[in-house]
Amino acid sequence: MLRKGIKPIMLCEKCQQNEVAVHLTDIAAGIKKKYQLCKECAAAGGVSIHAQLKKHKKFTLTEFYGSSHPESRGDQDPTADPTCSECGMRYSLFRKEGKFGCSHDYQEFRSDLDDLLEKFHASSQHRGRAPGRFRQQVSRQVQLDQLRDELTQAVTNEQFEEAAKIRDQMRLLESHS
Amino acid sequence: MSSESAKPFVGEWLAGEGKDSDLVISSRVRLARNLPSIPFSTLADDSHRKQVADLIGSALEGLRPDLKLNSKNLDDLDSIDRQVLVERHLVSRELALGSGPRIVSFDDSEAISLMGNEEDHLRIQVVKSGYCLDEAWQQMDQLERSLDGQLHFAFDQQYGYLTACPTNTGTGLRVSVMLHLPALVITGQIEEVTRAATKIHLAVRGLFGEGTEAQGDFFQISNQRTLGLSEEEILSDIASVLPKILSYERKLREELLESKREWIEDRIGRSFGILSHAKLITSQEGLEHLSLVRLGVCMGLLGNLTLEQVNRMFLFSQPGHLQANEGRKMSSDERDNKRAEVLARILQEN
Repeated sequence: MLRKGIKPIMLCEKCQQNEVAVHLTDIAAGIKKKYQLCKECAAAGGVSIHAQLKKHKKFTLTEFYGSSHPESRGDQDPTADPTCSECGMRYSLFRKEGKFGCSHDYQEFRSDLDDLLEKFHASSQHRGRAPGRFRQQVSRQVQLDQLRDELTQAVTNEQFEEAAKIRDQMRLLESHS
Repeated sequence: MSSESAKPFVGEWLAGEGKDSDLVISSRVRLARNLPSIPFSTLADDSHRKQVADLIGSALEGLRPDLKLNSKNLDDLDSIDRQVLVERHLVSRELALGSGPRIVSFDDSEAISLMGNEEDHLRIQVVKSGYCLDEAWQQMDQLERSLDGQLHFAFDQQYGYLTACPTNTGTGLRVSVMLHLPALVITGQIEEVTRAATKIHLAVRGLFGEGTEAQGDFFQISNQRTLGLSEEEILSDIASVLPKILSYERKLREELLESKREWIEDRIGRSFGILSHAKLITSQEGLEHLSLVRLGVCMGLLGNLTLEQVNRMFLFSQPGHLQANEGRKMSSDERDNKRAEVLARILQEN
C-alpha cells in the first residue's frame, strides 16, 4: 500500500528544480504569504538565509534537532541511515524536515526517538488516553509506572515494609500482563 | 459558501459570551489523529489522500445525526471561500493551501470542526466562546470516543498517538486560549507574561496559531508538550496560569482608568472615530483600532456597542469575508475601501 523508496523532496515553488531551503513568510498590508524557495531563488529575491535567521530568531525544529543530529554525533556510524520499510522515509531526512513519513517510522526509528522526544516533551512515555482496543494495557502500564516511582521513594526513605507492599502490587499487576 | 458568509451569522465562538469573554475570545482544544498504514501528508499522493478522505467521510456519517455536520471538499471551493474558512478558524492555512482531496466538516454553530488530510490524517477541534476549556474538552472527549469506535487510530503503547510531527506525539492535544491583552501591551508588561508562559512550556503565538505573530494585542497561549502528560494535566497547566494573566490585565486596565483616564479615553475615542469615518482601512490598521475599541467596550467607555458587534467587525473586515460578501476577487485598495464601509456600518447599528 505504501510507496517504497520515495525521496520526499520539496521543490522550490519558483524554479521547481531545486530543493526548498528557505521558508519565507511575507507580510504586506496585513496579509501573510508563505513562500518555499531554494537558496538561489531566495537570494535572487534579495533574501539570504542568514538574514532570515537573524530576523526570525525563534525556536525551530531544526535548531532543536541540531545538537543530536546524526551528522554531528561522533559516536555513530555516519553511513547508518535507517529507512522505514513501509514508506521509505530515511532517518536523516526525518531529522532534517522534522516530519515522519508514516506511523511505522516510530517503530523503525525507535532506538533514536527517545532522546529526541525527551528533549522536546521532557518525556518519552505516553500517559494520556488510549484507543479502546489498548485502554486496559495502557492503564496497567501507567499504574506500574506510578508504583515504580512510589517504590523508589519508599526505598529512598528506608520505608522497607511499604516498599515490599508496593513490590507485591507490581508483581500482581505484571502477572496479569 | 459566499452566500452563507454574507449572512450576519457568526460562529458560536464569536458570540462574545461565556466566562471572562472580555479578555478570552475563545477556548480551543484540538486533537491530531492518524490512520495506520497510510503515509502522512509529507509522502501521501492523491490516492492516499482519497483513501483517508473516504475513511473519514464514512466515520463522520456514523456520528450522532444531531451534530448536523456540513462536509466540504476544499478542492470544490474557490480560493475566497477557502480563505473564509481560514478566517473562521474552521480550517488551517495549510489545509486551505494544500492539494488533492482535503475535507472539512463543521457543525452549524461552527464549534466543532474536523479536517481530513491536513498535516495529520485527521484533526478535530472544538472551539467555545470565552474561557470554557473544560466544556470544550468534554465535547471533544465524546466526539473522539465515537470516532475511535470506527477508525483505528495509529497508536503505540510507549509513544501514544502517532502524529506526523514529533511535536504532537502522545496525546496529539493542543489546548489554546485566544486572549485580548491590550493593557499588558500598552504598559509594556506583555513580555513578562510571555516569559512566564514559556517557562512553564506554554507557547505564545498570534491569531492564526503556529508561525503567526501576535497582531492588534491578540495572543494565543497553548501547550507545547503533548507527551508525558495526561490530557487533564495539559488542561490544568493552562488553567493554572490563565487566571494570573487575566487578573494582571484587569489590574492594569483599572490602573489606566485611574491614572491615565483621559489618555486612554482619547486613544479609544480616536480609534472609534477612525473606524466610524475612514474611507480606506488596511487589515492591520483595522485590527489595531478594533483592539482599542474592544478595550473601550470592556471598560464601558463606548455606550451601547457590544462585544458581539466588535467581534463581527473583526471577522467581516477580513479579506476573505470582504470578497465573499462581494462575490468576487478584489484588489487591495478595493478591499481597504470595502473594509472601511463594513466597519462603519456595523458601528452605526446602534
